[in-house]
Formats: sequence, structure tokens, C-alpha cells
Amino acid sequence: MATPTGPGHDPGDGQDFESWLAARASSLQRTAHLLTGDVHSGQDLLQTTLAKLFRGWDRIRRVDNVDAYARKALVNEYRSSWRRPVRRLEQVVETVPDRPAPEAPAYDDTREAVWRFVCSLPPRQRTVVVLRFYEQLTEAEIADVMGISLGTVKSQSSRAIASLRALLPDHPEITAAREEGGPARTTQEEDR
Amino acid sequence: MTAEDLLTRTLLEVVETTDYPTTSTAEVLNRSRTIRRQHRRTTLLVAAAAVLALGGVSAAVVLDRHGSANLGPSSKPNPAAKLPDIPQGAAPKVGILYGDVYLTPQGERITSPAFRHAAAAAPTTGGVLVVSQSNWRHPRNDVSLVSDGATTPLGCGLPGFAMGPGDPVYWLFDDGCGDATSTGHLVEGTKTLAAAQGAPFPVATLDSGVVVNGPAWLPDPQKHPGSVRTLGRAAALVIAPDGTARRIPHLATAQTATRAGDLVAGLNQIDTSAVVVDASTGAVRWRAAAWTLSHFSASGQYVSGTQSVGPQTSPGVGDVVGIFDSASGRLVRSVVLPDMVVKSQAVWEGDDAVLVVAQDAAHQESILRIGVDGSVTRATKVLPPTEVRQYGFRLAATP
Repeated sequence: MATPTGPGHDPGDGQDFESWLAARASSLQRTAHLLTGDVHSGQDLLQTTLAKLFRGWDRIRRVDNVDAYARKALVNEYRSSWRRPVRRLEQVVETVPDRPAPEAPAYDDTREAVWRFVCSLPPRQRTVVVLRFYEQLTEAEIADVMGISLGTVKSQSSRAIASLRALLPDHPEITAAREEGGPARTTQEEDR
Repeated sequence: MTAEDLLTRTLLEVVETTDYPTTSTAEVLNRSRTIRRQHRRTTLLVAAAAVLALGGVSAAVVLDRHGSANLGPSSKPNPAAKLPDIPQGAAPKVGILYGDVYLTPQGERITSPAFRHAAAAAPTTGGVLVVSQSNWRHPRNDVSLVSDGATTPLGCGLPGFAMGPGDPVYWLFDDGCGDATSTGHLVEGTKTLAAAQGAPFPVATLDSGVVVNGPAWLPDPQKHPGSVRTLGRAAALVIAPDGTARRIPHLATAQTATRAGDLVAGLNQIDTSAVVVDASTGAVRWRAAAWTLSHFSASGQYVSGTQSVGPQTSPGVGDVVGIFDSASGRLVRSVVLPDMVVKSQAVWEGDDAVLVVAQDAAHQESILRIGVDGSVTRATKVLPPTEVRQYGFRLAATP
């Protein structure tokens, strides 16, 4: 079976779009889910990102790190979506429509609380949290991906951690860690 | 454990325990075309403004009609964008309706005025069963039997049949039509299967009973005579031959089932995405986000689906027909029909091909055959727009 490479079908160097998609789509899909907070918004974000990548694939496939480029594109697309004015066009309805059941499976209480907490964070802070604690990027890498300063990354991350601690003041596992090693360090402290 | 560790663990667990839909290259291609269409619209507006501003400088936008690959499992080039340019193949092997004509799967041509506005037709004991389309002038779905040129009204029902190994199964209201609290019967041929209230729409037959979509209020044998059991406004049910019903868990509506009765396709109750579930337990086997699933192939090996991209205002954009592996949900084939709208479900001819009614940008209409191998041929002639408005092709039933 012939494999399409992109709009121009240039058979030159670099990997073809379809095989790259097969290998990387699920990973990007997970990140998109965590960024948006639900599977279907994440799928929408992913498809828009992939469509844009596909359009420029002849050029993109020659970059050094296609995966990093795609992740950056995903984050940028997410940032565009939260800044888009159309997001504010929600309609006020008289009757609240049926809400789907939570998508997260039955976690224990703590996990559900933490996931809700992540979903409740402002978009930029949530992006920092996902890139830092899921993607395990360094703060410098996050600053590069998001196009913000290192200081902003640190402050956003620090605020999120402080909020989480405030949300779970008596969490037994965190408490145990504090007793063993003192208060957990903030991201800012780590970098000093 | 630190708060940071807790965050990491939670995020990992969220993604590891979530069932994600598949992302096909066909979906990416269509999204790409939609974005390009939006950009072109913006470009045209800007160009028009520039023309006005510069006093006559023209702008040209080159539209690439066939420049895109048909991504996804299909490696074949996109079919032509005009129906007459698609090669003519064999006649349909499923029943079709056109004007006053019902063309049986065997190629027999039966003519009756009852077929002109029929939503569905299927051979049954003693003739051809027909149910009419409803519209604002005639807000009823009349069920009739056409035999030897005569039409015998049977009553008022719903616009479709459940097809199975025996006669088609349909719903008949006892009296009146369209009242959700009416009583009626599920009928197979001439045999009454079960009485019920509501308007359960039969969609498939299994060994264990008939798959219907609610609402339905069925007799409750556990209580006194006349009492009914509410089975919900949006529910997929299996009504057994003894009149008892069970809900198929997790399904809001059922669309189709395998002939073996092991799998049911429909819409998930939580997020209304297309899913294939285990018929007995309702356990989700796989999802097909952004697709509308149509029917299982004869052996149950494949399930067909369609993807609508909405109003098509840009060349090259078109609806998509997909073929999935029933067991795994793998997209075996996807074919973009450029500049075309798919107006029907994708109905199987055995295990080799699906048929769809397609309309091109010139409002011409034909029935297309899309093979599992990715081939696209016409199964009928092309109707001009004037005839489409009067009659149009319809796939008579859903085997």
C-alpha cells in the first residue's frame, strides 16, 4: 500500500506523515486530554493540530525533533483556543442540559480531587502543570514550548503546588513526606 | 510523597485508565481541508478588499481540486468529483427504491404508487412491506403490503424495519399515530411479537429478541395486569419473544447488530459517541469518535460508517465512507468522496462492498459502491437534479 507523505507527496528525506501519526498520535492525544480536561475536547484539539502539521509536513518532517515540534504546536493551538473570542460566546440557557458522567474512572477520593483540581486551574497554569508533571519537561523547556519567561513558568508552577497543598492539607501521603523530610520544596526552591 | 509526585501519579493514572478514540488520517485530512477552506475564505475576502482598494488589481486563487491524497487506509486516489465521471459497475444487490419502482435484490422490478414516497420496503410473506416517509403534509408513516399490484394498508407505524433472517419486524400503533403514549405491537410479517406502549423503533433482530430504541413502556408481569414498566426515554432494549425486555447497558440508541447477535453498534449513553458493544453485557468493545456507524457486513466481519463534513463549499472536501474491523475497531478503509454528500447509511452487499446514495455538487444523484478494497463504482445511472427532487434513490432496507 502506498503511504501518503503529505500534501506535496515529496518522497524526499524524513518520515512520512502516516507512520509518524500512527506512532505519536496516542501520546499527543493524552497530553491534549490533560490540557483540555476532557477526552473529546482533547480529540478536537489534537485533530486541529494534526491537520496543521499535515499541511506543513513537507517542511516539518525535516526538523530535528518532530515530536517536540508537534508538542509545541499542540500547546500553541491550545493557547490559541483559550484566547479565541468565540470561547466567550457561551449561551445562557433556561434549563441546564444533562451533563455527562465524569469521564475519569473511579479513582480513590484523592486522585479524583487532584484531577478536578488540575481541571480547575487557569489554562496557562494547567499547561505548565501538565508539561512539568506529566511530560516531565524542565522549566527551561516549558518556557521555550510556551513562549513565556522562565520566571513565569516558575511562578505558575509554584502557585499550582501551593494551591494543591492548600486543597489537601491533611493528605496522609504528603503529610508523611513532610514529617520525614520536612516541607516539600516548591519548584522555585528547587531551582535556587 | 510530595505534592509534585502526587500530581505526576494522578496525571499518569488519568491517561492510563482512559479509553481514547482512534485518530485516523482520513479525519486529519478532512480537518486539514476544512481549515484550508476557512483560510481561502479569509484570503478571498482580503483579496476582494485589496481589489477594491487598489482599483482593479485582480487576485487569483488557485484551487487545487485533486491535489490531496486520500489519506488513511485507502491507498487509491480519490474518486472523481462528478458522479458521471465515476465508472458504472454492476446493479445493486440490495433492494432500492426509485420513483414508483421497487427493485428487489434479485433485480425484479415492481411498480406501485406506494413506493413513490416510501422510506423503506422489504419482501415479506405475501408481498412487499412498505412504510411511507412522513412530512408536514402527511405526518404519518403508513405501513402497507403491496401484492399483485394492490396495496393493502396495515396501519400506522415507524419509518423503518428491523431486518433479520425471517420477515422484517416493524411497529404498528393500535390506533392513532405519533403519540408517544400510544399502545401498539411489534410485528414480524403477520405475527405479533409483543405489545408495548410508546414507540419502540425496531432496528435489528437477534436470536434472543428484537433490538429496539425506546421510549417504551412494557407490560410488567411482576405486577398486576395493566401495569407497565418504564424503560426510559432513550434506551436500547432487547424485547424477547415472551414480551419481556432488557436494556442493553451503556447504549442510548442502537443502530445495528451482527446477524450472530454478539455485537451491537449504537451511540454511547454518556457522550453519544459511536460505539460497538457486547450485545449481552453492553461492554464497550471500541469507539469511533466522529463517525456514524451504519451496518455490519453479512458475516459480521466489518461494520460500515460515514462521516459528514457538513455543507461543502470548497472543492475537494467531501463526506467520508469508512469500513471498520468489527472485532478490533481498526479502520480498514476510508474513502473521501470529494464534493459529495452521502445521503444514506452505508448498506452492505455481503462482505465485499457497501452502497451509499451520493449527491455531487451539481445536485446529481446516484448509488455508489465502495469496496473493501477501496474501489468506487456507480451501481445505478445518474439522476439529474430535476428527477432527484421528484423521486431520488433510496436504499430500500438494511440487510
